[in-house]
Amino acid sequence: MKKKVKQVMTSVLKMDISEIDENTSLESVETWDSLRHINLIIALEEEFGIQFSGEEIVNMLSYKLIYLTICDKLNEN
Amino acid sequence: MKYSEILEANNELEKSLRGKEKYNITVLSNIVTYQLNEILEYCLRKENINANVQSGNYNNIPQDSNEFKDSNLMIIFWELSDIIDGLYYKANTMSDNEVDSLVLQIKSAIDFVLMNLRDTPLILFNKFSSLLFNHRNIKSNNIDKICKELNAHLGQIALPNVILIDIDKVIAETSIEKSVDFRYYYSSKVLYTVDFYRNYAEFVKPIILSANGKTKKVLIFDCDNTLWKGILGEDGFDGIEMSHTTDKGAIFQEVQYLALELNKRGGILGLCSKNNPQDVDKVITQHPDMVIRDKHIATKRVNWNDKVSNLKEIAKELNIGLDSLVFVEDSSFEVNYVREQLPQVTVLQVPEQLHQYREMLRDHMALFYVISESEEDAKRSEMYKAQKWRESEQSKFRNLEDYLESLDLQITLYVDNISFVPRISQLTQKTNQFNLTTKRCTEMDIKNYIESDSHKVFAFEAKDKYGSYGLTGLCIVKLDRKLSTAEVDTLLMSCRVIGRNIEYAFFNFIIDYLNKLGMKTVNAEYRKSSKNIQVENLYENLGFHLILRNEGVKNYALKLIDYKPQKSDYIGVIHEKKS
Repeated sequence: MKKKVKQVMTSVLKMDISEIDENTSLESVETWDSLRHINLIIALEEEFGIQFSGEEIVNMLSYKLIYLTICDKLNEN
Repeated sequence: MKYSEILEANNELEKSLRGKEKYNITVLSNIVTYQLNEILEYCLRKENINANVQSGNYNNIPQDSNEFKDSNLMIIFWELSDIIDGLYYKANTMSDNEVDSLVLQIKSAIDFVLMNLRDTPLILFNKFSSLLFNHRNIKSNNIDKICKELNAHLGQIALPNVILIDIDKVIAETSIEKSVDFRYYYSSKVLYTVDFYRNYAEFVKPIILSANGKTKKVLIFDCDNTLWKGILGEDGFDGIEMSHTTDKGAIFQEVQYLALELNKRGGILGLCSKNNPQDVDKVITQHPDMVIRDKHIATKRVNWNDKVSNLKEIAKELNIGLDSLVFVEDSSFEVNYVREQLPQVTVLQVPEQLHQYREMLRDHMALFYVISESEEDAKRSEMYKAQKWRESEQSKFRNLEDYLESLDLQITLYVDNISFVPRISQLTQKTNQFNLTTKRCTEMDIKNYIESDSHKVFAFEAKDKYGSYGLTGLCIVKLDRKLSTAEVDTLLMSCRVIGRNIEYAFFNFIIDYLNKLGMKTVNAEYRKSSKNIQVENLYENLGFHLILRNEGVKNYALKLIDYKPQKSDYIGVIHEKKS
C-alpha cells in the first residue's frame, strides 16, 4: 500500500517515486501547493475508495500523515 | 481511467509530444477549475494535439479576457452560483430591482469579455446553468430568471467565434450528485468533480478536434450485420432485415437514419464489404426497406479483397487521411485486423447486445462535428464584428476601468490593529501569488510588529456593491526613524481581490501615511518564488527605481517626494482609526 500511495503522489506532483520518503511534505516539494493538494486528495480518495473529512484533508500535509490517515480509514471500514 | 492514471498518462504524453507545436488553452472562471486542466490536456494529447491548458486568475474573467486573448482557445466557466458571492442562496431574497440591476451588470461584463476576445480563434462559453442549486424547485424562481436572461443575452451577442456549451447535458450525464463536491466548494471554491471534468472534456473534444483539422469525415459500413440484420449471401435479398416491423430490423433502420442524418450534415458515406457487388447493388437500388441509397454513397469497395487494402484505396480515392475514416464492422477478425494494420482508422465493432449498437454509433457521431466555417460565414463574421464593435463604443464598459468603476469598490484601512492578528498571520501563510516576499509570519510575529514602534502593519478589508471580501490585503513596513527610511517587509493581497487595481489605492494610502511619519525614502524588495511571477514588475509600475538585481531578488528604492499617486479614484478609501 505504501507503494500505491507513493505512486499516486508521483503522478499528481510530477516527481520521481525515489524522491518520496518519510520526510516528504508540502513544505519540501515545490509542486505541492494548496491547489495540487486538492488534486492529490481527490486522486487518493478515488484510488482507495474512501472519503476524507475536511479536517483530515487540511492535516494530510506530508507523506507520513497521508499514509497514516489512509491506514486509519481502511481499518475503520 | 482513474484520475491518478490520467495524470500519469498525461505526464508521459507531455514528454512524447515535446517539440510539437503547442495548442494553448486558457480557462477563465469565477470558480476554481484547476482539475480540468490536466484532464483536458490528456484528452487532447491522446489525439496528438499538444494541448497546454492554463487557468486564469481566480474570479478575474473580465480582467483576464484581455490578458489571455492570444490563446488558441478560451474556455469560460462563468458559474451562476458565483456571479456574486453566494448568489445561489441570496438570489431568492433579492427584489426585482436588485435582480434586474445584477443581470444588467453581468450582461455588460459579458459584452466586455467577448469584445476583448473578438479576435481569439475559438471560445467555448458554458451556458449559465441553474441546475446544480435549483433542481428540486417546482416553481421557477429568481435563479431561473437570472439564468434564462443571461443565456438569452449570450445567444444574442455571441460572435461566430463563440460556441455556447450546454453544460446541463454534461451535468445530466454525470448526475447532479456526482458533479459537485461541496467539501471542496466550501473550502476552496472547487465546484466540479473530476467525474464531471472527464465528461466535460469528452463533450467538448469534438469541437477542439475540428478546430485542429482532426474531424472524422467518412463513415464506412461493412454491409452484413452493420447496415442490415443478416448475411446477404446466405439469407438472401428477402431474408435480410432493416425495417421497423421487426425488433432487430428496427435497430438497423435507426442506424441507417443516423447515417443519412450524418450525410445531410456533410459527412461522407462509404461501403467496404466482402460480398458479390451485384447482390449489394441490388439491395441498394431495389430493397424497399433501404434508407441509404446510391446517391448517398460516395465510395464502394464491395469485393473479396482484404479490408485493409480496400480502406487504403478509399482514403486514396477521396484524397483524405486514414485518420478521417470511421469503419463499422461486426466481425472480430476484421476489426482486429484493421485495428492492427491501420491504427489511424477508428474502428467501431457492432456490440453483441444489439440494442447498444445505435447508442454506440450515436456516441461517435460527435467525431464528425464540424465548426461551420464557410467563406460566407467568415464574411458575415467580419461584418458582424465591425458592427458589434461600433455598438460597443456606446456600451457600458469601454475598458477595464469602466468595469472596475461599476463595482463600487471600497477598502477600509487598518493600521496596527491588534484584533486582526490571527487573520493577518493566516494571510502570510496562505498567500502565494500576489506576495512580493512570501515571508510567512506566526501570530506572535505579527503581534510583535504591531506592538513595536519600529514596524507599521497596514491591512485592508475590501468590498464591492455585491458584498465584502473580508480582510484581504497586508503590508508590513519597517521604519528607521533616524535615517527617515522605511522598508517594505511584506506586501500581499489575497487572490480574491486581485485584478481590481486595489494595490494602487492601498499604496497611495501607505505612502501618504509614511510621509506623515516623516519618512523620506522607501526601500522594497521582490523575491521570486514559483508562484509570484504576476507581481515581478509591481514596484516598477508603482514608480520605484530598481537599484540591485540578484538571482531571484530585485531591490528597489523610492524617494517619497517622487511618488506619483496611481489612478484609482474609483476605489473608495476609508481609514478606520479605532483598534
